[in-house]
Amino acid sequence: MNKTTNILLPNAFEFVEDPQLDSDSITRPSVTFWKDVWRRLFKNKVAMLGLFIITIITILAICVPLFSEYTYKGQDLVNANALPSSTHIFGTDNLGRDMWVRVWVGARVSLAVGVFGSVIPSLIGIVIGGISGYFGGKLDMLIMRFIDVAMCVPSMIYIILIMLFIGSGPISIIIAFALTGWMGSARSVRGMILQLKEMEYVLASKALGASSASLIFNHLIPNTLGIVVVSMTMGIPSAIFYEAYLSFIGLGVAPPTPSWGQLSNAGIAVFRVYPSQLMIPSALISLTMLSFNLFGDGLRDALDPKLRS
Amino acid sequence: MSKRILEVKNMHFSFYTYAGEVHAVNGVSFHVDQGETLAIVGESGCGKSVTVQSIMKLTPTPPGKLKQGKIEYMGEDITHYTQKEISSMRGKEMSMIFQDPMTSLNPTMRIGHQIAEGILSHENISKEKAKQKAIEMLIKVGLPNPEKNFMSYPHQFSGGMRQRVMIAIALVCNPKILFADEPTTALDVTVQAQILELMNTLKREFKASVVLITHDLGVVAKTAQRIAVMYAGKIIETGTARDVFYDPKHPYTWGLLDSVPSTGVQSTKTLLSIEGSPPDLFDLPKGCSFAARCKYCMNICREMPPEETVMANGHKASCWLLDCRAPSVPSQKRVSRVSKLNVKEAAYVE
Amino acid sequence: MSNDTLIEVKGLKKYFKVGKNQLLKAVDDVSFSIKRGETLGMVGESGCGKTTVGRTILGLYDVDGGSVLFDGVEVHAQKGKEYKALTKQMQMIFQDPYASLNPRKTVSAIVGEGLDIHKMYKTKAERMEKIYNLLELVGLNREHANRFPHEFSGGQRQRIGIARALAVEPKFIVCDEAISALDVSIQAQIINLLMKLQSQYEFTYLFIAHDLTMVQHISDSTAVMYLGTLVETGRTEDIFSKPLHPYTKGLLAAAPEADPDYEMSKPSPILTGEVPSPINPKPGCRFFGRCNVAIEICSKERPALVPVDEHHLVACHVVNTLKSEV
Repeated sequence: MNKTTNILLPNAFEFVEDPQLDSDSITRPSVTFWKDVWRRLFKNKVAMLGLFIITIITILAICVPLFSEYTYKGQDLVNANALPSSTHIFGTDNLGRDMWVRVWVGARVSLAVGVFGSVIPSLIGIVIGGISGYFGGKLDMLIMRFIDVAMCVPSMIYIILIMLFIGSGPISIIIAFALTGWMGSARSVRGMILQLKEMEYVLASKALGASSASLIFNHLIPNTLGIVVVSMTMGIPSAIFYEAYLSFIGLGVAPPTPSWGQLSNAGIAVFRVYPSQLMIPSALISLTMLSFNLFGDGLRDALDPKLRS
Repeated sequence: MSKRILEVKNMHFSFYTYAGEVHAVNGVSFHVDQGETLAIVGESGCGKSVTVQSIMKLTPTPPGKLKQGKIEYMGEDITHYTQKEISSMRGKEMSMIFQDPMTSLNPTMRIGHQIAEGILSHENISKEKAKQKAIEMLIKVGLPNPEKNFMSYPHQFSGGMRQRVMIAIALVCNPKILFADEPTTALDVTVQAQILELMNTLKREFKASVVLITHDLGVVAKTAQRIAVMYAGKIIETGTARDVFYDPKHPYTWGLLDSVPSTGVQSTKTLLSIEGSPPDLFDLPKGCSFAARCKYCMNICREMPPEETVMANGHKASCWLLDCRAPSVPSQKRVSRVSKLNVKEAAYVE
Repeated sequence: MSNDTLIEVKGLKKYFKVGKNQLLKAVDDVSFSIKRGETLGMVGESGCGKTTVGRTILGLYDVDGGSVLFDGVEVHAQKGKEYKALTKQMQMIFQDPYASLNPRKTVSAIVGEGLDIHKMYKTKAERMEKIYNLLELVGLNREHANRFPHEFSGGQRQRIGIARALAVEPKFIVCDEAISALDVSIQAQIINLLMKLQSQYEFTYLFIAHDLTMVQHISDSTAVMYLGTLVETGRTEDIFSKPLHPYTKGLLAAAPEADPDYEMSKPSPILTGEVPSPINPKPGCRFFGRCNVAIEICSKERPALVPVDEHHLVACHVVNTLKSEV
């Protein structure tokens, strides 16, 4: 053996006094589940691009109407149907309203409808799906059969009927979405709950005497959140699209309040002469939907436990 | 001396993850001779599976990387073989069976076709002949009714039968070496006994060598001629089964053997366990990796990794206690139960 | 019922419906009792119903027949608050140290759950103090309280599971394959911990396992299960030194030991075949298909568990006929 050992350690071959060191201590940094998800998401460039575009659109939607000299209904009749220029960045419409402001006010409506129109039905779905999956039996069967029957009819028909019944406007759209959209997420949450409730930690909690409500809300639902968040994110673009579609056919947001769908509707009348009036709102719809989809995709990859390393 | 089939020299294998480098295998050397069973024993995460998978090039690279070392198969250096070259060897030269046969069998393909597929990809024979060979193989692994089983799907089989099928697939092309990664861990005790018996019989019949990876010392005792004990990516002791079981030299091996109560005697004493947990492979200690859990830890153990001491009969261990300057410790020799059994007890063994 | 019996299981039946008209008889007429402060080891292969027995005793499953008495109280007759009070006395340690801890909760939330449910503290500080004490009791540190389960090794996770069960200060603990998923050296740690806790707090254990050596080490009595039925029960030393039922014999012979010379001297495995499906079992002895000493009656009539001596009970026609002939 080499000599340096002896020089370094005169008592090298004596037993140490506290032989069992704390080998149970954890040397790795503490990483929570969501931190880990965020880290993986951050690495995904495409998803981050999506998030970046969403952020820019949101900031513009908030700030532009606040700081612009124009309002969404103020008319500048002299400059009606103006092309994009330095005074009117996106030009004006046939009533001389500034398109730049109208597009970003419309973005507020579209984004709000998109986000709430996806999140609210998902939340309703989580609760109903959670209860249905947890209790099982007759209640579960009843809820699931109801969903089966209700989902036979395309949701657009319900939405149109509801809108006709309670009138148009952003709030009505969200209500209509909430009444129809929960079924899909209830179904998928129920499926997950059925799997999770057989997990040993749920049994452990049951054995400790935990109540059903505590089991559902403390143990089961938090563990479905990852997937639900993804489906919410992916639901936003389709809600935006539904809103645009409804406004486009005249059932959504009533004028003069703009939304992207409504702007497209107005733009189509003058499409041959002033194509920018249709192109700009529809391009924004597409860009937003794409960004949400890219972000949602990245989020799903980040949440997939199989990819955890 | 029989022929050397496989030799691994100073293998280092790491995984590169976001948190840093995971040193899964740190300088492992071993060899396998023809017709013998080498058992690699160790706790989960000690690198025993990675060692074998990296020989077969089954670990994804990246994130894994073979940093150093040499792998020789029948005297030929296969360290830098491409995936294509190594895959032509899989099945024909070396095969592998896994812990969970369900995930390694294709659920949508008939059992017989999965066996025949292997033959067809390595041998230039007709489909009819391959089928014949597959059926013969099913008989050899002890599956009754081979004609019927040939047309069955994996889900129709029980765990033990699936493992038999896996063995059939692995051995059908007569490989020289079979890697078995925890082949009986998922099985019941009585089925485990049958599968181990089958592996022993077939090994003799096919004159193959077996590298058995397991954490179960009982399984090792039943099958292995030689043993390599792994801890934190290193082989800390290796030798013949009798040497390692009856005259172990490394404190970790002592601990492992002490942790298993023997069925012979019942005692209410506390088991002599190894306290603590294995080290994190991200961040290995600079000295001996077992030092933190060792009862006989000396000052030097925390400073320098021990070198391998070679004893008689190829028995090697890496521990500072084997240094001539180390203080002596109580003898850890063990006696087989057979020598203790009296006639009366022996009757119950049956 | 004598006062030193804590758990009395009588004719327990638990069936599961599988598809239409298919009945999985997971537990079929099982009776046994456990004395206060003792450990009953329950062994058997996968699918023999031992886990179901454990979970049914705790009231996690309903019964399809028979009863479970805990300290004279019928477990399955208790509802609501009464059942909740019972959960404070009976606890469980689970097999899979990965699946048994909620990945989204910190260790202190996991261990503290029982304290919260049964309101076992007055102040937040008292709660944390109790959690720290529990962690130290099972050999973990205070610093571990704010970590998440995935940061721990298997053995450490199992300790967290034990701390969770101990939090409510139970009398009776079901250890459901509590060491099967762990490494050998860690198994010994957990066994030692369980035995230390038993001598400290006089726990009664139902120790469910398939590892015979550990059962022999920890149990006072042993029960061997096969396909939903008990085939043999008795004091542990009797079961292991003079097993009577052919299945027990086969099981003992099949378990390999860390002793190569002994292993090489053993004959080939006695038991062939595998455990058949417990769905719609045939009449007669459940072990009939694999038994090498079966006689005619075995295929027709199910043997009852009858005593061969004071503590040793066997359910086997062959053993009984031999005994009556003598």
